[in-house]
Amino acid sequence: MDKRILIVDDEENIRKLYSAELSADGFQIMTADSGEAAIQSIEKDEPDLVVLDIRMTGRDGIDILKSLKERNSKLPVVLNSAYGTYKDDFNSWLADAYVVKSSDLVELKTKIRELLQV
Amino acid sequence: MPEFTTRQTSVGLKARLDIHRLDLPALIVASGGYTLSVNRKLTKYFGADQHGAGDVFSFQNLQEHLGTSIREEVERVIADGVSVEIPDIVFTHSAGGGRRANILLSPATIADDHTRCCLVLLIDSTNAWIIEKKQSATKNELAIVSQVSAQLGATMETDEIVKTILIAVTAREGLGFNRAFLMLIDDSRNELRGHHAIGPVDADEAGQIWGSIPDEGKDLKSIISSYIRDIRFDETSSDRAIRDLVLSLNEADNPVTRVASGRTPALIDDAESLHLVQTLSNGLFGASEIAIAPLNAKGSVLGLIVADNMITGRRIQECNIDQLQMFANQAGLAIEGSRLYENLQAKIKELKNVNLELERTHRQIVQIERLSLMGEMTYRITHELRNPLTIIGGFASLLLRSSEIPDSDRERAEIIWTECRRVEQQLDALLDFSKSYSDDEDDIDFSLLLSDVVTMVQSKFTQTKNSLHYRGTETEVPLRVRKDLLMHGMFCLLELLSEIAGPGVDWEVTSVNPTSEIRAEIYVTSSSMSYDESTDLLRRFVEHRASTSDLRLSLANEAIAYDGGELGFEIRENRPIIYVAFSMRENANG
Repeated sequence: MDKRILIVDDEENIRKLYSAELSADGFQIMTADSGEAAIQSIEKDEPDLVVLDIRMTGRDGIDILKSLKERNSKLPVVLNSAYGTYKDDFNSWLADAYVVKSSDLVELKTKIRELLQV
Repeated sequence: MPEFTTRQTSVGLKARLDIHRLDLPALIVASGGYTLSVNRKLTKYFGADQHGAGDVFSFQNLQEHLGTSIREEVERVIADGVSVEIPDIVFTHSAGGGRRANILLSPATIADDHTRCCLVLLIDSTNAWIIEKKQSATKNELAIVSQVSAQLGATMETDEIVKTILIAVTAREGLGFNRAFLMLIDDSRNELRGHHAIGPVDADEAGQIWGSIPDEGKDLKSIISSYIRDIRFDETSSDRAIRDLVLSLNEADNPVTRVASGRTPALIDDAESLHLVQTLSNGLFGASEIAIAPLNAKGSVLGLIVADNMITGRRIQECNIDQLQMFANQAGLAIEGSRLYENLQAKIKELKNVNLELERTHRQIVQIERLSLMGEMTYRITHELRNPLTIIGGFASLLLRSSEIPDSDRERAEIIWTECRRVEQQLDALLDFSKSYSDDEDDIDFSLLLSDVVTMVQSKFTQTKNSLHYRGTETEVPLRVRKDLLMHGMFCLLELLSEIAGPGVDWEVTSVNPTSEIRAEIYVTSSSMSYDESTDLLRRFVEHRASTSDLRLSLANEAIAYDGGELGFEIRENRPIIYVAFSMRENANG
């Protein structure tokens, strides 16, 4: 499988966890610890899907989501947050999926597979 | 004409007397009642001189006019030579009307032969007597009014005021009417409506009522006090009848309602008016004379007192009408005062309710603020915990699936992962609870809410291989609560119950609406547990509601208690039950 996934989260251990889990499933993983780094990575690495945290230091995920979709509306983005309430923010509806963070990554993986059709 | 000598033995005075020159009616009588001389004043006084009767007017005639014998006293005066006064002889004058006189008997002697005789002087005191009578009547009247006023002043209850007035009008010690009726004006309908009555409808009932009245020797105040305590208006026919009587104030020809519009009392005694009144009152006001007095208050008429002497037929005097009006004025003012007092009491009660409502609202606001703050804090803490939990649990999960770790470490990784999942579930419950619920109360059907929650939680029971059925009432069970909060509380409660017992337990939920409270009852209908086991399980479950380590039960308890509900346990009809109850009174004001 050569699908490329960009993990955007300011928590290093989350990036490590998701990288380990998703690479074990055969995905190519790239990571970014901020919104700005994410924009650069998208332009440089052209990922097939972005897993985007919402509450980060600096620009928050919702803001980055708008930038990403303005640049490439077809790029699938999975919003991933500890906060379920962002589901109520209509800006979050730009995302293709919304998964609340959990130690059980089954839901996240399922959504990724659905969006990448793998 | 012989001359007489009188003497005042006490001072030894002697005087020659010509009784014709006396300015007072007088005669001279000898022993044996023999009339010696009569002056014209006396014959004129009794009107006996018009037909020449003066010549034959005698001591005997005097006694006949006075209606009493004074011969004995005359003989004593002649014998003892001592003056005697016979005071206050009341008699009927031949010209009509009562008179009162003092008779003064004084010893005298005929100058010629020294025969002892008696001078009889008549001193008329009729005018003083009339004044005394008037004074006495006024004093009596004032005493009655004073006692009634005292009684009226002692209460602000309209019913008691009405009783006082009616008793005072009918009591022997009061105005002494046979019957009294009180009618009040209904301004909204422009009607005069019968309110209460006292007195018999016929002679038989009069005998029963008056025979049972042991009021001899009591003053009016005592009588009123004892009657107010004992009297039951509705036991008399006249009271029942008056309450059915309604007279329109639009009928200008009606002599009864005319009193209300004229604001002056009336005595109805002419045949035409009496017939009309009798017809309009369905025969209730059927006496030959009817006294009516308006209940005058400040600037308005509140009703009427109608009184009659239906049973005894005693004539109603003008003074009776005046007295009745005096009572009616007292009654009007007292009833007006009572109504003002009742209105004031109602306003005070209203104000108290508003204050209570304000206090309740204040408490709610404080509670909401605390809850809101608690929710906000819970929300923040929960999210701060979620990231590390995700990381710990996620890596534990990775380790579990790794083939490189020994079995002992795998078991520990599994424990870490399981515990992380458990904490995450608790965080989910906390997050749900900390959501901003609407602060508005809704009128809901508790039965419908339970039905919805049972549907929502059904999958949890299926997962744990248990079952849950809802047996609701067909009628609506109205309740005023914060719907979302209670739904969440009930959901948490039932979700936990799906987990506390092993598989194969059938649960049932019912909504019950007895008179005093609204409640949901949850119990086991079938399981492998013994009675003691299920009782112990449910009791412990509820007893730990405030101290449980499972946040969901604490949250369920808080959510239920927030709107005045109670989560409890009881054994009824040999069945252990968990109940959620809302008191009707607590819930009455929403």
